[in-house]
Amino acid sequence: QQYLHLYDRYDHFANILTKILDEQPPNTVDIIENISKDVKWAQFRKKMDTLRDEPLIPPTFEAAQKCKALFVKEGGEEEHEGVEEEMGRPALPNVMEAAFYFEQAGIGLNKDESYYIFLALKNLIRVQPIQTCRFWGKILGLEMNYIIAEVQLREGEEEEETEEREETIAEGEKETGGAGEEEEKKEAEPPKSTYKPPPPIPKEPNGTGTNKYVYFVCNEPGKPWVKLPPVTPAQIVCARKIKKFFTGWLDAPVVSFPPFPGKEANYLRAQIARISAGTHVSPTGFYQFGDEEEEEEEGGGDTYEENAEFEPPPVAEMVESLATWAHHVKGILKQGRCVWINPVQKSEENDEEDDEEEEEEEEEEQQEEKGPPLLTLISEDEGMKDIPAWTTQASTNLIPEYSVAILQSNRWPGAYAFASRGKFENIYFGWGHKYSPESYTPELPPPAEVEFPSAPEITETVDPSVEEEMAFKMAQEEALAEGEEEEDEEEEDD
Amino acid sequence: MEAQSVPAALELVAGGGAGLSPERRAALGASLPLLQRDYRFERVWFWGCVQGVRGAYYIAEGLGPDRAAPRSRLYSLNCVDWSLLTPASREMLALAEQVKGRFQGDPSFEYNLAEINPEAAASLIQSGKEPVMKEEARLTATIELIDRAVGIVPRGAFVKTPLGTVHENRHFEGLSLAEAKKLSSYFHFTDPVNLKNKTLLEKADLDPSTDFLDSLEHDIPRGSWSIQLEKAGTVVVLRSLLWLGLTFYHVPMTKQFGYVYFGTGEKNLDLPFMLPIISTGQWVEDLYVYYTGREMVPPFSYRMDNQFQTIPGRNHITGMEDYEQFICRGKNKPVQVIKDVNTVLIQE
Repeated sequence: QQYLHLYDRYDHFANILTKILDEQPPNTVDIIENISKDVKWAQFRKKMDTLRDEPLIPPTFEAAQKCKALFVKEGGEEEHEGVEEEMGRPALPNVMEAAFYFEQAGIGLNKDESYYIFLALKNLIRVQPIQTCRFWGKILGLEMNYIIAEVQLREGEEEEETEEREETIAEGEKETGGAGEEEEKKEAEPPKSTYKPPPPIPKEPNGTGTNKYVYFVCNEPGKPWVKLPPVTPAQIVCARKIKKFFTGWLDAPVVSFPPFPGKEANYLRAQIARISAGTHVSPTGFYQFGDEEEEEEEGGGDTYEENAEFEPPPVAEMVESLATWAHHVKGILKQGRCVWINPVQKSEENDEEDDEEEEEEEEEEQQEEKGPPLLTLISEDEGMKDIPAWTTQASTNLIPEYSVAILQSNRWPGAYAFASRGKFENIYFGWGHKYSPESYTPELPPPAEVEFPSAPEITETVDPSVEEEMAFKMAQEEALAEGEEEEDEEEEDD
Repeated sequence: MEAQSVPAALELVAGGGAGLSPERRAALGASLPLLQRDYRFERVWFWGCVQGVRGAYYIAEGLGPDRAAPRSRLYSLNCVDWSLLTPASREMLALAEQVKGRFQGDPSFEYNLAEINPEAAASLIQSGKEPVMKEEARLTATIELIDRAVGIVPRGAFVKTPLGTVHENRHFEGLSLAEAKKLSSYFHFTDPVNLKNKTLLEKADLDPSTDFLDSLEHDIPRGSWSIQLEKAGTVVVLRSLLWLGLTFYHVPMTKQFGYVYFGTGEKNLDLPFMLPIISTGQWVEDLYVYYTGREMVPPFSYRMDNQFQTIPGRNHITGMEDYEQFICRGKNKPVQVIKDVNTVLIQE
């Protein structure tokens, strides 16, 4: 229940007067400001019952209530039938199993929290039309943390929501733009600048590239899951240039330079996209290309499938050689997308197509390939100064038969992966920032706009002195006199 | 964290995703008591783990009868065999602050000082030593820096006797939930720096037996601590943003507290850039006040997600002794942090 106390001037003055009338101080005018302050002060004191103490309700009980709600099992029979009918991999990941393997390396949350997340994911799957789901990790924030689930929705379900969102955002912008314009029209309009910003790079369609997965976040297991909007290349490009802590509120503004196009939800989504692209790995050969598509095609190589004949290499080999690990997420280009696109509007001229192809080939060399054992972590991921991009270790040296190969990313501290006999998983626990050996330097403001280029007509010249002016005047008069004579002569001719 | 409470404490700080594997935990359980026996420590603390590129260092600290005395530090690569670290001198501390980059994971690795600090290198050469800094020395210095900067304890957990020694306060029953969310209830467990700068009025309120250390309130930069209630609101966890990886936990109304470091051993010098920018002093109408988890008082109304609506119009909030860290957010306006008590929050 909510009830609003609206305390406005009238009430305040009424209270002051009431207090004055009650207390009848002799020198009211002298202390009237203090009376006003005291009345305000009194607003914030608890209206305490002098006979009985009100029981304090610490927030722990609310949180415990939410956690307890996770354990309620709903719709038992229907769920059982649904689960049995679906063949293939169930949507719900085995969070506890992955937690067990990560625990062998000392990574992970405590078991209670992992179990709460397990149950929360189950709730998510029940509510949303989800095909596959994975616990992506946890990003820490200043006031609250984020628990993130990586999800693939069933086809056809997601497009409607995103369209609605874009419409509402566009409408919102139009409203504010309209209001601004109206105000300006009342005054004299300033000259409009001829600056045309570069055309925005379109975001990748849902289901491909950086938007391949949909991410849901919640602050704590038990709180409702919120879907993160798809990421745009502009957001990724900007996220690369800034470094900000997350506060824990999805609608908090991100105030930075260069100005981030979005709120904390967008910044979070952009960081998730970067981390996924940089650190999601699998044992080499686990995934392979479906059909043998050539990689020169646009968007080729985006689909992969599991290799049914995959034989996991022994753990010792996975620890020793980075060649046994491969990325299975496309790297993000400088443009902010996984698949390069020419921002200039495509006209069907051969010249532009040729340019596109050339540039695409150049860009494709930067793309990371997944699957093929030739391109592995060693060659792909350059280290920073002396630090390699990845650190491998076995979970235990004392019992090698059952040890697990653990991979830690040095570029994104907090990103881990484990592999053990064909099972593998990636996870992230951290603050959500990339490691850089140098300190962060914010981007400098762009250079100032160029003024008019120097040209004879606008360069200043020295004012002529009086003598020069007189001489010029004399010369002009002579020229005029000659001109008149000529005109007279012409008229006479006619 | 206390050696005996390591298993339980690791569960409480696991919110950041870092912890110890069962093998290391078991090894600690066996080796820390032996450390206590061999070195005759009164208390042994498991300090944490510094991640190097090729390996990790596990650190333990041993305390004598005076808990405020300089502590002995030991490191291990596998939680089984421990080696004592020589205490860091002032020059080493200064040098270590300048060494950048990750730890390598090899205790005998040598950092070339000529690149980092040519003067120090030159002075070392003159005195006949090599201009290098060993990783062991860097490790000791880093641990000392971290302890000095962000090693914290709750208020009242330690008492100072009239003789000057410091030991645990057996009457400490834990902070209350209201106190636990205030930064002023936690002290740096190191020689105080700001204490003498307090005004006489403030000093009059202090209790010399328990308030002999600096509190976290005036840490620079402001906002370099993140306080959260975790585990369904039962544990207060403080994370330092200056040394990322330092986690302090305390279960309110109990004696359990401690801090541990799981990180790379690098100071976060980008902290000023990373903190959210706050603008104060803006005229805002129809504020929504986010209350950071304390008990609620009329005339605020509240909803389940702790959003309040205050007095619209002029919003002077004065006399709020018990309420710190209100965060005001206008409808479409940026977040404002309201400072402490007794200040006019929103100015015209």
